[in-house]
Amino acid sequence: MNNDIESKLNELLKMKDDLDELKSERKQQETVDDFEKKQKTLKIWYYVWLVVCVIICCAGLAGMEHNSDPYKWNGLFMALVGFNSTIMIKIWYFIKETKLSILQEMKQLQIQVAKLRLKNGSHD
Amino acid sequence: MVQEKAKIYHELLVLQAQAGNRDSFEMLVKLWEKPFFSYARAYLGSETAAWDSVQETWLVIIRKLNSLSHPAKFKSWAFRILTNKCADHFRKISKERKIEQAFVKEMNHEDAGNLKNEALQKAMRQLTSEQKTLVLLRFNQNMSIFEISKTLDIPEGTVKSRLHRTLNELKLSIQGDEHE
Repeated sequence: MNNDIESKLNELLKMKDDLDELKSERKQQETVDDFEKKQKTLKIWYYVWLVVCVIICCAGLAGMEHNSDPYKWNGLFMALVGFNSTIMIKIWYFIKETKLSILQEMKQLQIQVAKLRLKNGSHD
Repeated sequence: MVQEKAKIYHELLVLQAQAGNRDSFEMLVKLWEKPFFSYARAYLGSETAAWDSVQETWLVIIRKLNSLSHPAKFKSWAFRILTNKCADHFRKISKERKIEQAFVKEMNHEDAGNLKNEALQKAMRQLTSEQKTLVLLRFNQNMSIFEISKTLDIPEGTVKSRLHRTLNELKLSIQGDEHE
């Protein structure tokens, strides 16, 4: 009886091919546009952060030229914070990109292996 | 073997999308739009609500794609988001009686052409959100028990027992209808 209900459910719920193509294309375009917008925003934030760090670093270096000692120490602190933040953000970006590109290379390799196996008719 | 290649290719697409590649993301959207929509429509019974849920799901995917640690988990991860979105929509719809009535009407109208088993449809509508999710993942998306367990984040044994119980409930509900 469960088999009977399973076959009925299969028939009732199977994916239908009546997707409104025009609407679907429009929605897909909207989604891709949202993705592009997000990538752009991310890039802008990355550069804004980088510029802020460089400004802090430069302000710190300028402060180190000041006559009074407290100013000099504050300047040194700011310059170090700015410099380290710049380095950190660059390292983060580099690691993220490298990790993803290594994984991508691995997948490309796996696809090549799968293709070769398919060509040779291997079933293991 | 072909399946394995397709699976790796799919993982590559996810990785490229994570790296910000627009074309790969577009391919992903093309690949998954139909299964997502089909699932959402079967869950909600309304095309408009289904499109909204799918669109909201994509927005979450865009926002959180980089937090996905393993590209092979994309399918279960995305369906979990979609299920949550569908459940939210379903709750919203059910809150207002008027809208609910219109929704049931729309559902009957939309599926009238494909209606082969009225009793089964009626029984499906009586299922809880959790049971409906299980049945749809199994029979609309043809997911294996393992895939369902990954999607819903519950053990395989629990999936099996819940599915079995749900099918029994459907069976009893249909039998009850036939006797009436």
